[in-house]
Amino acid sequence: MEIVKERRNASNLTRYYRVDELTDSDAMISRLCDIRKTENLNISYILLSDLMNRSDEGSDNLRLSGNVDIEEFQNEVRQRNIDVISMNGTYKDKPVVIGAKLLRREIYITIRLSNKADIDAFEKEIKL
Amino acid sequence: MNKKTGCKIVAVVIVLFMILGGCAYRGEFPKSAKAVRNITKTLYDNSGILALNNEDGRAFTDHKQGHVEMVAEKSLEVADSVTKAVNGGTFGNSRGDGRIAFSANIDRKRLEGAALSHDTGMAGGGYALSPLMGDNGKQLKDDFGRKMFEKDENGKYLVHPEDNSNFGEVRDNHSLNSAINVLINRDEYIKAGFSSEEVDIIASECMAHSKSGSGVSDLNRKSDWSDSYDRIDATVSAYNEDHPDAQIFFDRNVIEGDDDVFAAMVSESFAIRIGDVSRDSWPDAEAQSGETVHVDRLTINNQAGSIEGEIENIVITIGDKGDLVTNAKSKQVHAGEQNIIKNRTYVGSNGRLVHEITVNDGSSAPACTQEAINDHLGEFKCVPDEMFDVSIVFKKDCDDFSKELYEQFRDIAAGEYDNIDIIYPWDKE
Repeated sequence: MEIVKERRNASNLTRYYRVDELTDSDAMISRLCDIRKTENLNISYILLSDLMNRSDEGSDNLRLSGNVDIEEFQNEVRQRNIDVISMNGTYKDKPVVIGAKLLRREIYITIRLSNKADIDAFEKEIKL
Repeated sequence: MNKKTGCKIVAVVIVLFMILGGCAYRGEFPKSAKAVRNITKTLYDNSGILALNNEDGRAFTDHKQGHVEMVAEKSLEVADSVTKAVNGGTFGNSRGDGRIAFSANIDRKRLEGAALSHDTGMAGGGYALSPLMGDNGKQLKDDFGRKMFEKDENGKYLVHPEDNSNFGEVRDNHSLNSAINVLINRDEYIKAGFSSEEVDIIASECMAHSKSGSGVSDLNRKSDWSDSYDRIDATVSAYNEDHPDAQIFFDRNVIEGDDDVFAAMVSESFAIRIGDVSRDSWPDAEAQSGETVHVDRLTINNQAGSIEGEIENIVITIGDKGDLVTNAKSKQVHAGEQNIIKNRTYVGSNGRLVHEITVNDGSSAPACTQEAINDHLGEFKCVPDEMFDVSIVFKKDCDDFSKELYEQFRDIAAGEYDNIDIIYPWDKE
């Protein structure tokens, strides 16, 4: 899979990957759920966000448990105007976020530089 | 004397001090600011009455006179920073096809006038766009992720009179109706010292202050503005059909026909958006209904780690009788926003615009507070060509639990908002 961008700042490193073969949000969620099964990866929660349509008092973001079943996961995304999904957890006990930008067809990994997960090993393991 | 009574006495003393001491907002341009206040006063008064009589509106955060005056001050501060950064060559250089860059040529009087006018649409009695629904009952979104609205066979937006009893509809369309209110009062704005062309620009800035209401999700993308003006045009038509003896107009060519004017208007709109989200709050802040909202912070589960957990047993009351606020969204908003006590925007040593948010207590309702901070980040996301620093300052430090939650918040934001770097005090340690 192609890395479309790598962004590093003082706190985090994020790699974005293009996933054109995943043609709809259900397919992207299915891929995230596959990633979730990775050994040594522990997802604590999943955040569904509608970043494009936040109004004066924010949007109706939703937080799901890390082990929510795929049908409920897909259904919640379908029922809401979700454009970004963030799965927050740890890989080998180091913090990671695996995210998906649904409109851009991108999946991304973020690591925390002060408690650094091995992003190269992780991306290999989840076949990105 | 209990804590709640004490807070109320302090609030009354502050208000009396402001009135007797002449500290009420005078504005950078007192003459035009006073004239705009006279134009908008009834509308803001009516917006308070509408909210007071509506279950959903009662606890909505304040969008009346006090709020718009704060927005005017903050917007002018942002304008200073934009001017400095553009002149310094670190902001507004990324003009490409179909895009309009920021300009340093901000008209501060016009900006102040627009900021003071931007929320009059909360008074209701205006017009509403009709959401375009999909087969699944969900509002459709376009390729940019923006919510879509119904159009007729000629591509003209369909509008209908809004239902004042539907607070959500009033809220969702308030930026559009703020723009229409400016156009309705064109002659009064001209008497206040603005040219007719500036009235169109002020209307445009009122419309654009809400990204969801205006459709301007990228401030530098010309097509977003064009779509936004289509919405104003359709509403002007509807108004004129309903008011044959009091015709109004919107001359979009004033803006779309002159890139220099366009760029200045985009800079002013950005200043209003950041000014708008820079709501300095405090305990017992006023709601849209004019009533105070009391958050009993001792009832927040600060260690829950989620919004739902933090507000599960929270006690929030509104008004003199201490009615309970039961809506979960309102609970989250007040628990978070009342913990953000100061905002400012300046140019950092790296040339970037820095938006500094002061959180009163780092360990109080961290998840709700982070959701309030997300509203700030969302405004910077609308300017994808520029990089911003958002600096979070804690008046009272985070405990270890909250510190980790703020770190997780930053981990998530790093991917979601790829043009924003969040800075915490402990980064320097």
